[in-house]
Amino acid sequence: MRAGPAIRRLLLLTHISTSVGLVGAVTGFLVLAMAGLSGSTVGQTVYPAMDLITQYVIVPLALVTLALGVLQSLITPWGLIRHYWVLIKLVLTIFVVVVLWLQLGNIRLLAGLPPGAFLGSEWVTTKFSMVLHSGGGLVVLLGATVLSVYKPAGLTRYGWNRRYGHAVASDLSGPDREGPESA
Amino acid sequence: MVHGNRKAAGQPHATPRWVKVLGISAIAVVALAGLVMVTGIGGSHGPWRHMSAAPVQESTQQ
Repeated sequence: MRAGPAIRRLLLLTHISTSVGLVGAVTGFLVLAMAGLSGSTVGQTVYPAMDLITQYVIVPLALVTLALGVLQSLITPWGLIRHYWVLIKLVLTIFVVVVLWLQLGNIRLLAGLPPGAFLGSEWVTTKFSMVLHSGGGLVVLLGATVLSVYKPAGLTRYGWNRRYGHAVASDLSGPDREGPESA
Repeated sequence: MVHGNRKAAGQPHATPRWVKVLGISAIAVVALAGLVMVTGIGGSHGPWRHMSAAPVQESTQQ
């Protein structure tokens, strides 16, 4: 299935906006998580804010980014599993969504703690976990952005067989032997 | 950016070097994280902690 240039460009614009927005939102989350490590009463403000950002910004953006990335790859010549950079981006984004999903309980838990609970040392591990996971997520998302921009060459075995398999068998070459020029 | 060329049609499939480097790096990171969790250096941390009904072990009591 192939989409026209106008739809592809609109999808690309939306995909870039959501994925870069996600990087920004996770950066904000990371800054708040680091502020929450101070152990002072700042946690009463920081963790509810992190919960709100997660619910209304990070989770929606992550899901939309994943969905649009899959859709975009399926309606363009790039395909979903033909090029390593697309496949690796897909794996990285799924990984981020799964880790985010696993962290939702802890974020909600910290946001619901009573005033003064952050002064004790019993929440240090959970608070540090927020920094660790958001920092790691940010690195992974930036890696996915680098892949999107540089699009390093490399066909997967499936992509290679699809492009060259029948050409090798019949010794034919046609205009579709070249890689996608856009997307 | 154009990927692939007609010359590749006559050659067997090969995994690019950058994919191998990335794969080895990912394995190293996973192994390091596993080591940290198994040895207990990172505390009671790990994905299994999120699987139970109670997300964390700490108490909410003061």
